[in-house]
Amino acid sequence: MSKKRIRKPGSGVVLVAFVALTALAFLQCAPDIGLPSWDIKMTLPFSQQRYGLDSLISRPDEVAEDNGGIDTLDGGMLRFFHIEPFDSVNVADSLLEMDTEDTTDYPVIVGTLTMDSTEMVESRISAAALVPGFSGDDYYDFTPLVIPQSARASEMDNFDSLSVAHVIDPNGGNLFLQLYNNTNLNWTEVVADIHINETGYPQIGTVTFYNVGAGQTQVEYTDLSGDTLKESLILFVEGYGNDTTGVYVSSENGLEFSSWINDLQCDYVYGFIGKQNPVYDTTITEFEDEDNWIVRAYVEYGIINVNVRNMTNTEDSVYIKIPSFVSAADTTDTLQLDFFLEPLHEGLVRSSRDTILYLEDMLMTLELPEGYDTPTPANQSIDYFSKVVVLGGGRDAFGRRQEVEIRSEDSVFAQVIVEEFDFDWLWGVVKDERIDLDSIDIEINSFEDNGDLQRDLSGNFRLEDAQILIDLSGSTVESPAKLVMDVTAINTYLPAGEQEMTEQFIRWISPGQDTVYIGGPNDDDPRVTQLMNHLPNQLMVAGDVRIGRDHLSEPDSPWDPYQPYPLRSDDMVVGSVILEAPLQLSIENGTPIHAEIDSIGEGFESGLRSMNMRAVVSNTIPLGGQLYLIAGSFANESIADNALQWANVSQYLIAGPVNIPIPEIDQDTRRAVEAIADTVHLEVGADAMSILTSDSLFMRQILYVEPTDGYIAAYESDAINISIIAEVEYRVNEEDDE
Amino acid sequence: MSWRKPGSLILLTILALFIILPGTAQAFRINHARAIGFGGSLGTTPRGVEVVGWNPAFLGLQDNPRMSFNTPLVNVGFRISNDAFSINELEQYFQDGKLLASSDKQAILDEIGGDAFELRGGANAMIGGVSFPTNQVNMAVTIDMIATGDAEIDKDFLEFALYGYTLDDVGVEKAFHEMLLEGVVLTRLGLTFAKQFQEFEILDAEWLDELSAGISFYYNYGLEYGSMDHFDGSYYVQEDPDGNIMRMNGLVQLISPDFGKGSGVGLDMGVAAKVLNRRGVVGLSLLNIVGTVNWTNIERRVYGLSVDEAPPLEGLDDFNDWFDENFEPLDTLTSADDHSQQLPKYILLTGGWWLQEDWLITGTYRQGLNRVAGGTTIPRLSVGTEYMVHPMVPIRCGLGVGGRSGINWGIGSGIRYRCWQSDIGIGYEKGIFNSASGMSFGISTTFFFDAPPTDPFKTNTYWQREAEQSGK
Repeated sequence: MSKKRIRKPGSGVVLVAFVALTALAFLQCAPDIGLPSWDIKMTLPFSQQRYGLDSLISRPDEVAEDNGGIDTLDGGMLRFFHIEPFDSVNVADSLLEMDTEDTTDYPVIVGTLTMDSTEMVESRISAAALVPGFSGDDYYDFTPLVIPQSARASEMDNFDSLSVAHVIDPNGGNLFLQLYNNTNLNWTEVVADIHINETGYPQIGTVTFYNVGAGQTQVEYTDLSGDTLKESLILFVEGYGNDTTGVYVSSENGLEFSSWINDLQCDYVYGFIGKQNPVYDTTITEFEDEDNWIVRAYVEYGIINVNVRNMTNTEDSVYIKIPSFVSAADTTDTLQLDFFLEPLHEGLVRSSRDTILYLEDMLMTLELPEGYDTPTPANQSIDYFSKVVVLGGGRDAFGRRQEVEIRSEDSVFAQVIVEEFDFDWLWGVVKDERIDLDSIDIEINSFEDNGDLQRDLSGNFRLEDAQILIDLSGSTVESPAKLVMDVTAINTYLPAGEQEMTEQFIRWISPGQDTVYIGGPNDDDPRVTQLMNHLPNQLMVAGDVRIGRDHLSEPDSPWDPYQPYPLRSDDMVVGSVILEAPLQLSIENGTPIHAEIDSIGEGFESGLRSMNMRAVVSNTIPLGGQLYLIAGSFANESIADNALQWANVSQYLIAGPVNIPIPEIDQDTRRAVEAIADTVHLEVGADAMSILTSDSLFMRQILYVEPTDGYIAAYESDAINISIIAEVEYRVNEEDDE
Repeated sequence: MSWRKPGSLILLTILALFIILPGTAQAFRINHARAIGFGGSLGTTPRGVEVVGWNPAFLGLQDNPRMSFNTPLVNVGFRISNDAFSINELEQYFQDGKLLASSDKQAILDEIGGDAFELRGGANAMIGGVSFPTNQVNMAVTIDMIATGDAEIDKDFLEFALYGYTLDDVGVEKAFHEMLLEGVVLTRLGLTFAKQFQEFEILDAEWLDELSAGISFYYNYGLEYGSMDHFDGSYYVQEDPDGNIMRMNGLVQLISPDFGKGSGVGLDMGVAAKVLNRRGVVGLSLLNIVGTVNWTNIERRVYGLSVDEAPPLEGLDDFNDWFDENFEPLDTLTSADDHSQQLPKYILLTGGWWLQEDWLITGTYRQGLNRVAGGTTIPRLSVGTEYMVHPMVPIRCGLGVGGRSGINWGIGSGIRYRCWQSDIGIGYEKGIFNSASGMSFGISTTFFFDAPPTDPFKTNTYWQREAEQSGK
C-alpha cells in the first residue's frame, strides 16, 4: 500500500514536470546562429620610399654584379664608379721580331802584292872582256878607259822566285844593282841599262855608278814602278875612267854586278808568292725595312749565313768579326770566325766555306743610325770586319813550292745573309707602335630601371670632380707612351640627337706609371665631369696606347724621343678603366622625381570602409620639397606611366602634399647638421577611396624637390625617408551583411 | 584558395570552427542517452549489450537478459561545448547579418575567461551489438563508432581577428600561439566477457549478493585523424626611416594519415557487485586501460609564412605570384611516418541504490588518467536518479560536477515495452537551457530478451515466478 501511495500522486507531478522541462529544453536548444559582420582595422605598410642620395642613382649592391655603382670614399661620401677591365695586350710581339733577308756581298781584294825576295842574281864583265887583246895577267895601258863595245852586254842570272811581276806605279819599288869593281881600275862613271832579256830587250831602268875605285862596291837602284819585271835580265854597261897606263889586270878581275829586289809592290805576279800582308775590310749590312731601331737586344733566335769563296790562286786565310754580336754570358766574346781557304783550283772544295751562325743567347748591339734625329735617317746596320791574308802558292804533293799567278785585283768573296731575328728583350727606339685597347662598352646599370629618375634629374643634377682613372698597375711596359682615349657617353633617355656626347682625351704615360688620371682632382679637365653629367646609361671607351719616337717627338711630349727604352717579350698592357665621381648635387630648378609605378592590380576590396594614413618623414639631406601620392585606374602600366605625372598630380592625388622639411646645412661640409623628422596624418577622402577600390590600380610617389642652396655633399647615409602606413577598415563578411 | 596560401587557410579554418561549433566535447566516451539523462552518471543500470564502454562486469550480473541487441541509427549521441558562450550569447553575437559593435567585440572577448577559447565535441554511434550467454561466461559483441575533437583557440588571436591592428598598435607585436586542434574518428569492434562468481562465500560477506568480473577487448580501426599540434603567429608593423617594418609570420603543423590507416587495440576491465539484498550495485572499471590507435602513413604538413618587411603592393593582382615572391612558405611533407595516439583512460567508480521500488539513485566518480584528446585528468562526480512514473516510462535526471564540463545537468526518459527499450537524454553544461555553454543529446534503443528486472524489489517476485514456471 505504501508503495502505491508514494508512487501514484508523485509520479504524475514528476511526469508533468519532466515533460515540461524536456519540452522546454528541446525548444531552447535550437539556436539560430550564423556568421556576423564586423569591422576590423588593419594597419599595413602602405608606401615607403627612401630618397637616399645613393638610391637616387644606384644601389651599392649592384657593384658586384655590374662592375660599378656607388661606393663610398673615406668618410662615407658617395662615389660613383664603374670599373671595366680591358683585355691584356702583348706589346712587343711584333717589335721583338725582325723579319729580314738582308744580303750583303763583298769581295775582299788581295790588293798590292809584295815580292820580298832574298834572291840575288848576278852578272860579270870579266877582265878579258874589259881589256881588248887581254893575254893574261899583266899591266895594261887604257887610253881611254872604257868598256869595250863587245863587253857591254852582260846577261844576269835568272830570278828563280818569279817569272813575271808587274810593279805598281808609283812607289812600286826598286830593283837594286850592286857593282863590285873587282879590278885595279878606277871608274869615273859606270852606266848600266837594265833590260829584260827577251826579244827587243825592253829596258826597265838605268843605274849609274860614279867614281867607283878599284876594289870598291857601290849599290844603286832603279825605280820599277810601272815596269814589268821578269826572271831574266840583261845589262848594257858603259864605263869611263881616268886610268891610262900601268894598271895590273888579272884574269880574275872584272866588273861584277848583283841585282835584287826588295818589297816590290806588284799588281801582278807570276812566281813563288810568299805570305802577303793582311788585307782588312769593313762592310755593313743595312736593315732596309726596319723603322724600329735596336740599341741592344737579347737574341732568342737568329741566323747569319756567311759564305766565303776564295777567288785567288793562292792559299788564303780569312777572318771575319761581327762586333755587333757578343756572348750574353761573356760580353768580351765577340762573334768572329776564320777560315783557311785553298787556292781556287778546279775540284778543290775547300776553296769556299758556307757557315751558318746561330745567334741564340747573344747580345746584339747597334748604333743608332746616322741622322737618327733628322727627317731622313739612314738605316741601322751591322758591321763586318774582315781580314784576308794571302798565304802563298802552297806546295805540291812533293813539298815543293808552287808557282802561282796572282793579280792585285784578285779577291776573296764573302756573302753575309742576315735572316730572321727574335729577341727576348731589347732596348730600342720604336718608331710608331699603337697598342689598340679593346673597345669597352660599359652598361651603367646604376640607373637601371630608373629611367624616370634620369630624365627627371638630367640637367639639374651635377657630379663634381668626375674622373676616369686608367689603372695600369698590372702593366709591364717601361716605355713612355701616349694614351689616346675616346669616350662616348650615351644617355638613351634623352631625345634623339642629344643622346651622345664624345670627348677625346690624350695623356702621357711615364715608364712604370701605375695610374693615369683623366679629370678629377688630379687632372684639370672638366670634360669628364661634363660627360658624367650627361647621366649616361652607356659609356663607350675606345683608344690606344702609342709608343715610339714619332709620338714622343710631338711638341707637348715631355720625353726624349730617341732615348732607348726596354721592351720584353712578356710586356703586357693590362689594366682597367675606372670611372668615378664623388657625388655632389646642385639642383638648380625645382624638379619632380617620379618614383617607380606600383601596380596594385585589382585595388582594394569593396569591403574597404575607410582609410587613414600616417607618414613619417625623416630627412638628412639639405634639400626640401613635397611628396605627392597619386593613383589611378589604367589599362596597363605604360598608360599609367604617362598619366601619373607631375602635371596630373591634382587629378590623381590620393594623399599629400607631405611637406619635406629642410634640415640646417653645415656651410663647410655641405651636409645637414642633423636629421629633421616630422609625422603627418593624412586623410583619404571619398574620391580617393573610390580610386583605391577601382580595378587595375596603379600608384606612384612623386617627390618634388626644391632647388638646393648651392652644392650638396652626398653621403651614403643621407636620405629622405618617407614611411607611410595605412590603417584600412574592412567589414568582414559584408556580403552576408548585405 | 590553395594550400600554397596557408595563412588564409588557417585563418578560415579557425574561424569556421569558431563559428560552426557551439559546444565542446566532454570526453572520449560514449554519450549514451541514459547516461546523459543521469547527468553523466549511467551508474549501475547498463545490462546486456549496453555495458560495453562502461563496465564489462555488469554483463556478468544475474539480472542480465538472456540475449540483447541494438541496432544502428537509433543509438547515437553527441556532446558539444565551449568554455565561453552560452546558447543565448551565441544567438546574440553570431547571427547572419548582425554587425558586431565594439561593445559586442569586447563582450565576446570578456566571455573568454582564460587565455584560450576551448571547443570540444564528441559523438558516438552504435552500429550493432549483441549479448548472449555461453556455458561459462556471458558475451557481447559490439561495433560502434566514436568521433571526438578538441580545439583551443588563443584569445589573442580572436582579439586580433575582431579588432585587427590599428594605428595605435603600431610598434606593438601581436602574437598568438599554442592553438590546438585535434580530432579522431574510429570504429571499435568489441568483444566482452563477463562472469559471475559463485564461490565468493569464502569472503564470508553476507552483504555481498553477487560478484562478477568482466573484460572487453577492442580492435580499434581508425578512420580519420587530424591534428594541428602547433600554431604560432604574430603581426607587427612599425614605421622606420630605413623602411617600413612589417613582420608577419605563422607556423602550423598539421598531422593527418591516409584514410583508414589507423589501428590499435583497447582493453576495459571491471568488477561489479550487488550488495545488501541487491538494493545496492557497485562497480569499478578501468576503461581504455590499454587503448591506442597507431596511425601509419602520417603526413606532417608544416605550413609557415614569414615576411620581415613590408611586401610591396605591386603585383597583388596576381596573388599567387605575389605571395610566392614576398612570403617564405614552408611546405614540408613527411610521409610514411607513424603516429601513436593514446585514447583517454579512465577509472570509473559507480554505485546505485534502490531507494524503493521504481526509484533508483546513482553516483559515478570518474578519474581520467591522461590528458589526450577527449580526455582530462580533472575528476568528475555525478549523481542521478531514475523514477519509473509508469511501468513503461522512466524519467531521470542528474547533476555532475568537475571534469572539463564544470557543472552539468541532464534529464531523460524512455519507454519500455516488453523487449523494447528506448531512451532519450539531453544535458546542458554550465547553465540552464539557453544559458548553457554546452549540450549533450542521445537516443538509444536496445532489445532485451528474457530480461529479469534490475529492481531488487521486483527481483524476488521474478525469480519466484521463474521458479514456479520451472516447477510446472
